[in-house]
Amino acid sequence: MKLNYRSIIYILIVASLLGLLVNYLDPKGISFIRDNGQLPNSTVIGGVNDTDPEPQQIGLPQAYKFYKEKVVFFDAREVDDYTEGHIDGAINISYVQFDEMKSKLDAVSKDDIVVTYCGGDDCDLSILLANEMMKIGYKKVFVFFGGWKKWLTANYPIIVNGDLYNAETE
Amino acid sequence: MKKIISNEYFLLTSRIVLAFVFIFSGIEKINDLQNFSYAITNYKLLPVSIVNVFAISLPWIELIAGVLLLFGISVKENAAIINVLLILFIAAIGISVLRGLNIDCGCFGTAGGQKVGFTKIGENTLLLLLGLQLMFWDSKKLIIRN
Repeated sequence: MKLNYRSIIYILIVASLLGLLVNYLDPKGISFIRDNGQLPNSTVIGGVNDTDPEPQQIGLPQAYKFYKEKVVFFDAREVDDYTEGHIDGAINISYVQFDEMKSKLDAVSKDDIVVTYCGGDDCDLSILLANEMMKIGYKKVFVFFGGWKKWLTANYPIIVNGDLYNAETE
Repeated sequence: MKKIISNEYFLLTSRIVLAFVFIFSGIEKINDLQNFSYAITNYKLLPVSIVNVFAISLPWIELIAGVLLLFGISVKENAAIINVLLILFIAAIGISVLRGLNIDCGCFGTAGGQKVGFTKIGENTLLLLLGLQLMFWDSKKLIIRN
């Protein structure tokens, strides 16, 4: 067996360049470097933008405001990550096991505001979960960018191994 | 045994099967790059920032290698490329199975929504055997002379 390594390299380079070119010219093409801010920024501060059928992106201040208003949070990470620690009151619906865990949604009205989050701002489980929830009829889905990591650094209420930390002192 | 494996009609069949599988899987992925990119992300093996570069080039490598294989151009080289891809796929799926991830494999774009698992590893191993056969014995039947 004698391989012509030069042609292998040519084939790889030509194919990759072709891919980049076609993707660049394609209006449906994806960005070269994945950015996480693909969702439209939420305009909510006072209310919910009902006309926008896409899940909307919110940051820490808005997420905390929702938390205080007792909005339901959904943790899109895997069960192990959730058990290790999560936002106080959050319900775990791991995106990868969505079908098995979606029965937990029965308790939440489709007209309620809901928030999804995952590990940080470089994961997209929260977006994927939000999309699934939109598909089954939830209208006011928000994706909390920053997720668990950001919440943790802000010292907001969390449950770690079943115990509540940083409880609200009001 | 060696005689059967190096039989030119057997080699031709392997070449056509492998070529069509890779052409099909390449086209399916190119049709829906966004979802393929999500599928790669879910494996959690690559940093998110380079996932898209991978998602953009990989399907085209599959497609081009498949087409060249079909026409019998640089059969051994293209079989080698495909073998490397198959080994990567088997490793990625194997790691995901061990980690207990229940994710779409992204193998043929979103067609069928196949999950990662031992079946997938088996399929890829069979394809790898065809690839190895072509890499070692070449296929000179029905080729375009260059």
